[in-house]
Amino acid sequence: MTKLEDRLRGELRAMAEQVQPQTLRPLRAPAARTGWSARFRWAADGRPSRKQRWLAAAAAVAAVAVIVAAVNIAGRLTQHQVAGPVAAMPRYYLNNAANGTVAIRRSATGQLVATVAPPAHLGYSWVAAAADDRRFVLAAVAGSGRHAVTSFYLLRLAADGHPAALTRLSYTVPAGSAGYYANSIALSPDASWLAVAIGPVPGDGGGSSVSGPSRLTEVSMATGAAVRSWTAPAKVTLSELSWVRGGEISFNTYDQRPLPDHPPIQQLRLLNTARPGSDLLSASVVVRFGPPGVTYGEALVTPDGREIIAWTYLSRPDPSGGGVFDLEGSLAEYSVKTGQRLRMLYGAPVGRTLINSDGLLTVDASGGHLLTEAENVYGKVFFGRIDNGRFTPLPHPNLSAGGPFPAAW
Amino acid sequence: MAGRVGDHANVVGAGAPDHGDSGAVEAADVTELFRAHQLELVRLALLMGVDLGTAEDVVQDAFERLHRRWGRLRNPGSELAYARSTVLNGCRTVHRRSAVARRHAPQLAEPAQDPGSGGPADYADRSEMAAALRAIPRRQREVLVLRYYADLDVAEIAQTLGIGQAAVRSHASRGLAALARVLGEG
Repeated sequence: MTKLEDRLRGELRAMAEQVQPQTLRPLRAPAARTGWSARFRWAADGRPSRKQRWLAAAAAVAAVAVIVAAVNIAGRLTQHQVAGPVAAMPRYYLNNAANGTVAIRRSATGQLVATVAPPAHLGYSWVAAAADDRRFVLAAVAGSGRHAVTSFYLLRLAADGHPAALTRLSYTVPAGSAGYYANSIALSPDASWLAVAIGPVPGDGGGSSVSGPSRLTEVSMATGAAVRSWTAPAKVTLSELSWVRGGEISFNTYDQRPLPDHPPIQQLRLLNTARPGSDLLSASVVVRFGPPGVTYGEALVTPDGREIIAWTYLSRPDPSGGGVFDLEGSLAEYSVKTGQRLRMLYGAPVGRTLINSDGLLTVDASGGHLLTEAENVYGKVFFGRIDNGRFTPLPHPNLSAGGPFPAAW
Repeated sequence: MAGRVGDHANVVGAGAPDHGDSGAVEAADVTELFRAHQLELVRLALLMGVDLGTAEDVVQDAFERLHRRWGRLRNPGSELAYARSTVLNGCRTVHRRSAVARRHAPQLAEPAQDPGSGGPADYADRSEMAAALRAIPRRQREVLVLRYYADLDVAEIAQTLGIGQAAVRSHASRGLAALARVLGEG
């Protein structure tokens, strides 16, 4: 063994042994699932369970109150109508380039069309797209510490893909003492509404140091004003926003609240923006999919609201009988209604050269074309699009800096 | 070697097993596994770069997942590998979320704590080796930790990470080379 190996072994042991048995938090025995988390469970025979039939009846009684409340904001529903599905792949995609700029590229080949430099002292952080291949929103951060501010810009492309106009919205997210920033954005398909997930910055070591509630804010693109906000409890982080037909927003939560029946859990949720209420967890529903115990990376609901697209990981024994676990990573489509897998989009058992994705998943308006990061078995990261069961690598100049990197189309 | 059984280990709310009920027997097996290996698994998570509180959360989550899936595991003897794998997956999720946040708001980062402020998380976070491990690709870090801390052989590491043995050797070799470069020992 070399000196480095000796040193590595010794220092790893020293690091680890700083944790002593008497300081460990006792493990908590799993509690039975109750309450809202069980609402979407179905009986084994496919019929709604007794609990769900009760819930359905209760929902009918409550429907009157819901309708009354909805009248006040019903006018906004029409503004969320999704444009007709785009069968063809979007012509352009945007992603972060070097030095805080954004690159505009042809989706078919990745050819660079143009770059969009941010205004002075800003760096672009997030991109989001409408369904028309013309309008995008860019988030940009300026300043530092509690004085940092995230602002948003509407970018319009000309027919040839070159930037035609860059307009700043009046809406901003000041960092403040809690260090708030935008950690995901989504532009409605008709470019009328911008959804922004806002949360405090977690530490390098993980989420346990996160403090302060997260929130999801809906911004009018016409006025630049925040119209509604929903708040999640502290230690619940939000990510991967995506618009769904009918005015719903798909998003992921990572819940690290230290409650006995809530170990850290990741969930895919749907928020109906027309419903009253400002508590994000109460106003949204959990979308369950896949077999029990499935682990997933990124997940979103497709724009038509019918399917879920997710990278999922299942442990399974080596089919050759060697007794070796195989962590099967694949990109698949699941039914929102039943949670069952509908089809494999990429991955096992054939064509599996990419094993997982630690990056972000972006779907186009048709739901048939995806942009994603993925990693091969050797740890090399790729960026590209997935359609027709194939992964096509695309340029992404920032891969060497370590992902994930948002892209939009 | 990591994994010494600690007398401290206890599980709140586990209850006594009922040997006439197969479901309770399985739950007791999971509980016993985590009772015996909780310390090792928390230390493993810590070495993957998460703080102590998060490491405990990740292990708790792994415990709950195994508790739900116990009856479906078809390879007796692979339960610990599955537990380690689940813990590593949990750490990856944590790092991914932190990376998203910090990459988009680096200027909002809290100022670095003074070295020597105390605590195991501080030690793990501030040592030169810890910094070097954070600088190398995640997969290489996982292989090095499993090899040089958990003392797993190539086959066991491959089983835990769900990759081939050749990939394990490649990651180990490249990881050591990368560490050497970062530490200036190349």
